[in-house]
Amino acid sequence: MSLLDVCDLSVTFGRRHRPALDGVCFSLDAGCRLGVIGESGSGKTVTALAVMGLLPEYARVSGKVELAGHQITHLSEAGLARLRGDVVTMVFQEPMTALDPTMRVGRQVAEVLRLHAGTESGPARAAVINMLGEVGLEDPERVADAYPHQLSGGQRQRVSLAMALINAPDLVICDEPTTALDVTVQATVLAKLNDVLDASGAACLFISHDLAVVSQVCDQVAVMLDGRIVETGSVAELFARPQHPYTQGLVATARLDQTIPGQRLPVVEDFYRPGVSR
Amino acid sequence: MQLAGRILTRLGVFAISLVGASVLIFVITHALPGDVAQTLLGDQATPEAVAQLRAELGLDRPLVVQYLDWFGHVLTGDFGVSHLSGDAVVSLLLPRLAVTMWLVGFSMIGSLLLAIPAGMLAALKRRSWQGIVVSATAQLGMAIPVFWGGILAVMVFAVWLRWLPANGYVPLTQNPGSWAAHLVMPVVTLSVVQAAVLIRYVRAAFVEVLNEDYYRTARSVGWTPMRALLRHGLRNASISLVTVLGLQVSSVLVGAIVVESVFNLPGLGSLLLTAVSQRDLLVVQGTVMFLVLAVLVISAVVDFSYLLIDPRQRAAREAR
Repeated sequence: MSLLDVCDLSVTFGRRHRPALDGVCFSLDAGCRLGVIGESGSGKTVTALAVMGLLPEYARVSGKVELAGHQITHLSEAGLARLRGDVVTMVFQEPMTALDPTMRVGRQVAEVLRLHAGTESGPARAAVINMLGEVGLEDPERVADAYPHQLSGGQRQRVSLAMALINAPDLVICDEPTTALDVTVQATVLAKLNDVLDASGAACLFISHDLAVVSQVCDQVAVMLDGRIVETGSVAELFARPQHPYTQGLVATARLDQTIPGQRLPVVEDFYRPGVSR
Repeated sequence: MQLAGRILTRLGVFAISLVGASVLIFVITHALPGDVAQTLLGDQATPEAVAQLRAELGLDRPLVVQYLDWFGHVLTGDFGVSHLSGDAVVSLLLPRLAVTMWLVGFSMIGSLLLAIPAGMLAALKRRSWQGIVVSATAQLGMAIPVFWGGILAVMVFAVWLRWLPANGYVPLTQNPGSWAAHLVMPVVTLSVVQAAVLIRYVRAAFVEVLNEDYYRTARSVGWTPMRALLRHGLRNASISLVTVLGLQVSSVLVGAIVVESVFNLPGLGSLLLTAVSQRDLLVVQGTVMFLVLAVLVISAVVDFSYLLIDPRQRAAREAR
């Protein structure tokens, strides 16, 4: 049985007629990594929030989301809260605002540990410092005592990563975790993410608009467009034989090294125009 | 060094506000129709007798001279002597200050204890009937004048149910039980009215928190909505609430004046009302100066409390 099973998931917000998600199906086995790729508004984040059970209350959800044997759509708030941070965790896009500005980051990480494992504060601190070191932060003791505003974007995102990994979750959802970082920091954070995922054996749902980034972390990719998954496959397959015109566009833009010098760079619209091929 | 400069600036503002307020108070009290000599001598007094008394009290001197004389003494802690009773104004103020401090202090605490949970609930449940009920009740509460609420409370709890004394005051040192019983209704009345105003701000502050990324992070690591708000929202929301609270202090003081007169409490408010009606100008000026001082001190405290709440402000200040 897979760790995560999403079947015919549809989500509509408020009184809008057009669904944000329209019959999304995918599954993820324990320890595997699935990249979800698509442009903004294609439903990537909504999918992630649906798996977390964090959709706003005015969202209408139908279909099945089964995580580690739990039906997410049927769980109570308290039941969901027990899973979140323990079985499934999430790293968000904006490291600058994702942490509480008024609390030292070490405490914020320790809190996650104590909330689920009930660890005492002494051992919790040791575990936090250890975890902060593992996600590649130098001088973890000092970082633990810092407030978020005293850290750089890359450091904060590593702290978020530490928060997401400290309870050894079965599934880590990363929602564009490196988009807000500059390119050099992006590369080191991605490398570290790979390391810690390898070490912990956690599965990962990695959301991005950038195929090049996804290919560094994931083995499988699902391409989303207008609330649907239009194509799935292994990263290698997708690069070699993209089927959907939108995917072809994505692959071309991710392979800028293959463009002949002097020629115009490819854009997705060369391959796929919204409303034409549907 | 920077902190010292900061404190000096603050003290400068403090001094200017105080002088400005003293001029304003002096001008307004002297613009009041009627005068204390007339009150002292009664309606039957001859104009000559009134004029003679005015001269004795120094009321016939130019206003500027009277102001400088008064403010000079105020700076040395001498608020003058009541024309009517002959008591030093300070000796009238101090025992009454305690009553007003109990009333205002407990009412601020009471209004926060009411407004914070209610405002949080209104924010969390803003799309369901519970939130609408809280907001509507707060609106209704805001529409109720303090004195009307006080009189209603007296009718219900003192006259019909006979649970609490209708009015009056007993000092804490004399009988703590009776002191508490006399304070319950005034404090509750003022708390409820203030809470009705505060709930809107609390709700707005927490709605803002609900839209913050760190709230979503807190939810994603396993806090339930209420606990996420308490754990990560309260401190962040209090940054904006402290500002509102600082501004509310003056309106609580105004409310206290009304409540004191409804419940016949011997506080600063009732002293002020009596002094105004008797044109006992030095008492009026002294009391208002005292209230202004209280408001200024509290706003200074509010300004520095940001430093305790928000680590970013501490950093900004250290960097400056």
